[in-house]
Formats: sequence, C-alpha cells, structure tokens
Amino acid sequence: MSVDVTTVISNLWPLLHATSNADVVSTSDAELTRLISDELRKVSRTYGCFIARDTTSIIFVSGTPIYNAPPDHLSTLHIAYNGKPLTPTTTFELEALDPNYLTTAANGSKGPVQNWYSDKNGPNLIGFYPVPAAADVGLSPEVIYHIMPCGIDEAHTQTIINAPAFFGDYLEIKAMADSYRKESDLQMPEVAKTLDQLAALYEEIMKSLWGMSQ
Amino acid sequence: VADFTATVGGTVTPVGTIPHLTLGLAVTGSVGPAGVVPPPFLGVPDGGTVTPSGVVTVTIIDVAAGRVAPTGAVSASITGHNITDVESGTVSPTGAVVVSLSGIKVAGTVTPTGQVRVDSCANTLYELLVRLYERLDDPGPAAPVYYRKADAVHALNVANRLFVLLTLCIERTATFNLVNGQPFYRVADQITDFLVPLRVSSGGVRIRADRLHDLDGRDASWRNKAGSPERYAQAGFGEQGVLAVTKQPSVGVNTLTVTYAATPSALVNDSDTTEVPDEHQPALVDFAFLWCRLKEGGQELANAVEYLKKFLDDAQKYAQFVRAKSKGQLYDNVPYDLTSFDRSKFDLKLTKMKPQKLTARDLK
Repeated sequence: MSVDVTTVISNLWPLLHATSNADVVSTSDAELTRLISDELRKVSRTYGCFIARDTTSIIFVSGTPIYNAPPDHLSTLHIAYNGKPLTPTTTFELEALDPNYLTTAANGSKGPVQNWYSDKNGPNLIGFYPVPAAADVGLSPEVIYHIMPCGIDEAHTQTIINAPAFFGDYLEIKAMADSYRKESDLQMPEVAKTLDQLAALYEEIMKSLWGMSQ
Repeated sequence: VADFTATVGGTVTPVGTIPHLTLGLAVTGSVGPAGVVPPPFLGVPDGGTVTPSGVVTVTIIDVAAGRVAPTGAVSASITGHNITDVESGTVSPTGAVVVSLSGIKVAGTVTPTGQVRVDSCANTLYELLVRLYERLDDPGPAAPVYYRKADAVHALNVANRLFVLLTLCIERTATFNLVNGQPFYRVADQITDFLVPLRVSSGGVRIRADRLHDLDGRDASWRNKAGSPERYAQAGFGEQGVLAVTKQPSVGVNTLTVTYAATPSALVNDSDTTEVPDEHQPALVDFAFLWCRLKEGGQELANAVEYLKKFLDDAQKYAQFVRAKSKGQLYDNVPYDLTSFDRSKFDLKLTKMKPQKLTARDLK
C-alpha cells in the first residue's frame, strides 16, 4: 500500500470548506503539498518509520576513506561489507586506536575494512576504517538506513509515499491543523488544537509499533 | 433497520410479476403461495410483513430474497436511497423472490402474516452512512444537503483505519516465500496489507523476533548462515520495511508462515462491510461524526469531541482484549496501550464572546 499526496489533498478540500484549489481560501494545493512534505520530514526524523537498504550507492575507491551516504539518508542503522557487519565507531576512538586512521589502508596489518564512522565529517558522509584499498575497488558496502522521503513536490511529479494508508490520514490531519492554525480568514485555533491532539495519538502509535523495532 | 426500506410492489397471483425498484441491478425471483422470504444478509436488520393479500415491506440492504404469499399485492418503494431504476421479477405459485444487489443476498423468512427479521449484526457502509447522516441531522446519503456522500465515506474510512491501527484487530496469516541463501526481503513484494508482524514460523517451528542490531551482536555472520530460519527482524513502515531472516535455507523450497496485523480494505461500495468487530462498528460513526464536524469549529466541534472520546473508549476496550490475547499467544507486537494517552487534552475551552457595551458615543 502507498499514500498518494494528490489523494490526500483532494480529501482535504471539503475539510477546508473548498471543492478544489480553485475555490480554497487562505491556502493552496502548493502550500498543502509543502506542509505534507515538511511533516513527512518531521515524522521521518522523529519516529524513524522509513527504512531503506542500499547495496550500490557507495562504491569503494582505493585510498578514499569518506563517502557520500545513499540518497535521502537520514541516519545509519547498519552497514555490512563482504557479508559481515561493520562496527560503528567514533573518530575519537579511531584516533586513539590509530592516529593515521584516515590513511591506513585495508588488507594490511589492520586487516579488511571493519569500522564505519559518521562524526566530524558533516552530515550524510560515512567514513570507513581501515581505508578501502585496491582489493576493495568497485565493491559496495550494504547500508540499511533511515530515509527521509523528500521528493514530494508542488508540481506533483512525485506523489507516492511508501507507507500504510493510515499515514495518509495522519498527513491530512497535520496539514489541516496547520491550515486552521495560521493567521487567515480560515483560522480556527480550536480546530487546530483538536487536530494536534489527534495527530499526537497517531504519533504515539507510530512510536509504539515502529519506533522501537530498529 | 437501516439503510432503506423497500416495499416491493406488484400483484401476486399464483402466476404473476413483481415490479420492483432496486439499485439498478437485476432483481428476479418467484413468489410462492406461502412461504419464506429468506432475507438476507450481511447483518442488516431486514424486516417486513406479508399477508396473503397485502403488502410486503422489506428492508433491503443489498439483496432480498424470499417467497411471498399466494395471492395479494406486493407494492414496493425504496426510500432513503438514490434509486431510479425499476426492475421486475417473476411470481409463480411456488418459488422464491430473490432480490440481489451487488451479488450479496439478503435472506429472511416471510410467513403469510408475519414479520421478517434478519439477525445479522454487521453494518454495511450504507448503514453506517445512514447512522452518520442521522447524527449530522442531514437528510441522508441518498440526498445529502450539508455533507457530500464521498466526504462521509472518507470520514468512515479514516475511522475504520484508526480503529484497526489502535487495536490491531485484523489478523491474517500468509505464506512468505524465501529464496535460498537470501537474508533480506521486502514484505511489500509478497504481502500488500501488512502492518506489523505478530508471529512468524518456518516449517511449523516458531522463529523469534529480533532487531538488526541484535542480530549483528549475536553472530557477525548471520547473513551468511545456512540452515532453517531461527530469527527475523522487521524494521520500517508496514510492508515497505526491511525484513531480515537468519539462518537462510540453502536447498529446497522454503517458506515462512507470517501472522500479521493487517490494514483494512477501503470501504467503497454501499454493500461493503468493515472488518472491525460488529459490536464496535457504531464507534466508527462516533469518529466519523467528529471528522465531519471538524471544519465547523466552535461549539459544534466541542460537542463532537465527546463522540471522539466514545470512539477511543471503544477502541481501548477492544485493544485491551487484543493485547491480552496477543500476550497470551506471545505475539511479537501488541496494540498501543491507549490508557497511556491523555484524552483530557481533547477538551476544548471555548472563550465566550462578551457582548460589547455600547457607550453614548456609539449611539450617536
């Protein structure tokens, strides 16, 4: 099952006293799309419900320790290479272990690639230790990670969110709450408050059923 | 008795015709001298009286079937529904009148003088709509004034999905095919209504739920371990998440038996029924009422919040039952504990608008 943003928005029109984008007051299709997209990011980072597995994006290059994370990467859950999980570590620990951790080549005295790290490099970069060497060139580690679906756009070229149907209801609630909260002719704070609480209920359920499963 | 009532009309003689109104679908059948109207049906109270020469009033949700008395008039009218087609059926000395809509049969008993009562408890979408429109003080799904039928149907679908999410009340078991040597799967490839796993077994032996991180901790080579599956980890939203299995079978055809909490199918047609337990279906109307009233705001919304609380009470009651049952069966997931959710936050304190005092200057 998946959620189509255009369906979510068309369900919102009557709830916003409108029949379409043409007669809606104080909001628009584009604005609702942006609200939905922003909520999607918030839920992704808060509850970690969206997960992907990537085995092709990172391609080892000899002597390169740090690589771009796979697309839409939010945070890393798990990395394996050559069928074995790599151990997450920090640059602080690596510095203590090997002051030359940024250059120490794999498959030498330190053995094959066995650690990954993502601190001190900036966001969405993943480092490997020992540094991939000639034998690793062209090979890819497997990365399982939280993703942040961010392709939802106002032009509706990307409208599908891979999530159960109830998630569409949740997005409706959040977009509706924001629409009724903002200062406009449509403003009704009590409606926004009720919707916020309703959304909080969905969030508690998501936390309960999916938040701990990783 | 709900959706609409149909008085099937026509003249019944030992041989004759029954003209009917129905939902645009073919209605055929025969009427016998005395007998039975098997009414129907999917949980819709269906009732009517038949006299040897009289009127049969049948409440039809989708289909009505039966036999009508030997002689008499059968008149039919259907109210509360947008029906325009006129259909006809056959009456013969012996036989049955079968009214079928959307392939769903309504069955009941008719005696020459008597009442038809159908004892089924499931509500169809149409019945839920009727209840919702009554609460909204709107004429009804056939001719709504203030709330479009499509919006009311959507409200009931939101309620349906939320109830199922809160209670995990839809449980299914499916076979999940494994590929030899493959540790990772995407549930969506084989199960389309998956919400969370409840119990997974392989070859009749239960396999344990785990997390990816713990699989790593237990055995660094878990993804390359040949053998019968012993543990699984499922992460991510519903069917879109990642499913990891260890050990991985290496020969033969292998499957997992997955018991899972499922998402409900959307209610689309009038005759559709929800999988929410019959006794809790009125709760869907409670939530749908709130959903419809949301856009009103003010006192209307404040009043509707009470119905939301009733909905949550119902969901909590059933979720507790499912939790207890799930714990008894050592399921891998149990419903969210609604008792931990503070419902008082739904209470609305509306500020009363004070009448503005007019001053002498205002009156000038």
